Amino acid sequence: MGARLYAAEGASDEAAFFSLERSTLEDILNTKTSVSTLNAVPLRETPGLVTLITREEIQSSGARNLIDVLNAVPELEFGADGWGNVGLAVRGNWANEGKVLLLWDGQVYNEPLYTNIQFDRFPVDQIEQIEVIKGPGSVIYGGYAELAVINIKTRSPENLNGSEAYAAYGQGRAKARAYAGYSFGKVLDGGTEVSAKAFWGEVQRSDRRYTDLNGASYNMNGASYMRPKSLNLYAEKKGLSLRFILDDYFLREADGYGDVLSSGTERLSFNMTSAEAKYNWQVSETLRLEPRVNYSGGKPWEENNQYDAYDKYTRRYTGALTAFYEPGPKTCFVAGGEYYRDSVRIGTEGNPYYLYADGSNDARYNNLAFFGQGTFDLFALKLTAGGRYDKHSGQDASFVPRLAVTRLWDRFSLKAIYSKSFREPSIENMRVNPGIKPEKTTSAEFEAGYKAYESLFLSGNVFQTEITDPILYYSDPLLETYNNYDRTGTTGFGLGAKFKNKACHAELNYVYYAARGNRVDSYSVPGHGSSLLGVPKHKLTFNASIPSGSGLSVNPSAIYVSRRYGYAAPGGIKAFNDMVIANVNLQLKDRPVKHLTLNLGVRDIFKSGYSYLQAYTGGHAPLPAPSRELFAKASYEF
Amino acid sequence: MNSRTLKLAALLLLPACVSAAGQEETLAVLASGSGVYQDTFAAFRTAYGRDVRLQDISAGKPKPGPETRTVVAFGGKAAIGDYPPGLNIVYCLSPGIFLKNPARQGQTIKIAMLPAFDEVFYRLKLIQPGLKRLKAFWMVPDFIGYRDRFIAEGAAFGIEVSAVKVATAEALPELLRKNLAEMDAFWVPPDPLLLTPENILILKEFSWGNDIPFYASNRGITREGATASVGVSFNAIGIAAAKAAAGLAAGEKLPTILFPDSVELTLNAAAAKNCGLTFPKEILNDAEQIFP
Repeated sequence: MGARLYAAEGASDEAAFFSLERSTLEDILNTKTSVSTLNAVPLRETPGLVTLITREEIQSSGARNLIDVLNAVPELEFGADGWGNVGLAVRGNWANEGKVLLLWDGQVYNEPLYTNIQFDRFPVDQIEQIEVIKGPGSVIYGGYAELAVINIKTRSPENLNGSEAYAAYGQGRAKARAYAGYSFGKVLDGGTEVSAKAFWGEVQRSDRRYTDLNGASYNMNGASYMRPKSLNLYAEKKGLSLRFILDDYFLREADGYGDVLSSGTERLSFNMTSAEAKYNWQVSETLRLEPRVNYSGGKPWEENNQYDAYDKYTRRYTGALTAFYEPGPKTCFVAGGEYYRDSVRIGTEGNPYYLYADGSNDARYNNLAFFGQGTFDLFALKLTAGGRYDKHSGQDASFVPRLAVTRLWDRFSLKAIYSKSFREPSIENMRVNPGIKPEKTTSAEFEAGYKAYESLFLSGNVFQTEITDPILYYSDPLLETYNNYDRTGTTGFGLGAKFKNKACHAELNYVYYAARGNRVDSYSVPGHGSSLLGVPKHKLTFNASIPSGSGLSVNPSAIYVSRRYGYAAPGGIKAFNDMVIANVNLQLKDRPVKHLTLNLGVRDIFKSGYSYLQAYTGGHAPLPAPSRELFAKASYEF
Repeated sequence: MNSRTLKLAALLLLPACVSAAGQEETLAVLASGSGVYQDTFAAFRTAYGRDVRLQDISAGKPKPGPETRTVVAFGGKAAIGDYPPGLNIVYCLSPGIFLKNPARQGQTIKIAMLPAFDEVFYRLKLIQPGLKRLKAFWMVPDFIGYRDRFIAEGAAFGIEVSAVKVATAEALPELLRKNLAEMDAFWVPPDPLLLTPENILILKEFSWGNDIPFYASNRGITREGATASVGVSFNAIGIAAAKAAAGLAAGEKLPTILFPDSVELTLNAAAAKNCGLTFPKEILNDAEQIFP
């Protein structure tokens, strides 16, 4: 009986104890991920090119937000969109609006109207781990995962095992940010797991001056703040897990579609609520079922001012069932179905301009999907084959297959992946263009990895992405619409080196990409056929953590982007010179008080003047990023 | 939904609907499907040489089938499962647990996270030939099962071993100070209650500040500042569990604790220097890993 009591009380002690044994490079390489397949597979064998970012790396780097974290992945590059939002390009392809899926504790954070992600809203200090699939993920995740998947897990109750409180402050030319949060998690007697995480922040988008393509400008310093707030509750017992997220985020901006708004800043809010119940049902030793129901609702892009009244309620109800069948240790089948129903309704302040078909105030859609995947060992290779079929009530059906072969020898690993994926048109895409079709991507990826020493891992990859019927925003003064265009794509390669020895780690990654078969004028750079608008052809990222004794570590990081092209005047494309963004963070752990971690860093030490460029012809001028910032953060666990 | 859609759905769902077939007599239960549990299971599966059923306890309560004769549990949560009394249980990666249930008809075998004690003392003597008095600090009740054997084996090597129970984490600094004059070195078992990050820091600073070598049983503790550890690898634990399972399948009667065969020696050069120790060449050659 005594042993049983201890085990219940000491479960988290055992996990923490074993975590001490797993901090070598080999351990990191052997980390299992389920992001590509749903079932756990070691990183070097998973059928996808996956970057794993740990809490330790995020915290030591002094990242202020998710943009700082994701910018260190060279395949990803941020660009300007409209109305104060930034979006991602993946391997050179503009991937905003529904081409990258972001999951936060399993909840979809692509808002359903335009399927954008508000990257500034996320509390980076809650994160335990980020998995980034740098290629298609539609076979598992459907129509928002055409070019990449970002799967973020926050700290689990077991990992928290108590409370954490943190607060941060950043100072640029003026106050750049202040935020604070509190997280609690515990495994209770009887095995029930509970956690609660709260976050509040006030952040300035930039302290520099925005100048539109016509030369009008406004000082963003003090006129571009954002205020994210969120509450994330979780409970789990005997396989049944419940999650509830309340997320309230708004920003102020005066750059709209690109032209400086003549009468000052306006406010846009992106409220969201999600709730999920999931059950892990071990039917037999070989068969596990995972039923899931989910609700997500909100009012994305809400504004009500002299320029516009955009006031729409959205709801999504999802029901899904996934089956995991493992008849043997080397064989696994995953199959399932997912149904969701979307609805949108114009609120009381809505603008009649935004009405739906036949002048209706609301619209409803549904989507039914089935997917299946098998993993087998075949002639010493691990073969993964699968497909997903989606039938949407408002658009053509999509079927996307994937075939992947991976192989891990002692030090050497290989991956070859062929996959198709798609982008599902969003609710507003279908409103303005009822005939719009899903965008399709065909991707080929090859990766080789070699553990040269116990502390050094080298990797290289080549990729080719071909996008047909790309969906793109088009606007003139009287009309906004979305159309399918001909085709676009990129080809390129990447190189990486990862070093880890004791607490010291360093990583250097490089990616090159060039346009391939681009026939979309809106993405083109005249006279530079291998370039695409807004993205660099070369990107190099570096980060390191160097312990220097007594709990102090020095954490330098840097990003190099080669020449980019972007609009600087109406119809005028300008070359933006290559640049380096350098940062350093000093981290002091357990000093002068145990469980206290202090960070002091400088972001963009040399004031690079980096701006987010718009990666399509959308009328937006370069959006200035924050300038040099002194950033301090303290966190205490108890 | 048209018939084509239904057919496609049926095709995709078919693999999940196939019923389990070819059940095995050995069921592996993992406290978690990742990390050391998965790695140790992989070593177990290779050494065992035949397919075993696998269940991850984080995904649900383990359910041994009617054909199951032996459960091999990886991790404390898996070990304390409510298994039928007739089943044999082999459990490992459970450093704080010692299962005792006389009512069980099946055998219950613990795979220790330590090598045989003579292997431990043999190496400690090589590292520190002048070692005469060793204090063993412990918190988990599980250690009581080893304590007397550990003390007796130390005596065989001319080392007077005394066990010091640490009742609470707060008591540790005082206990260390109190025992300072009565020890040439101290040792800690694989004890998840005692070896928290803050306690490891206390042990390390005490060791480095007082020239008292700190011996542990895990590589990770040595990386964090212990002078050396004499332990076993997760691979060796998996192999030992496989041997036990194979022995049970063959109808053998096994002891309640089995020690893995191979030893994993890890050294910390900086820690040794701080304690005034110089590792002999024989030990340096024997070490699996040396932290600078």
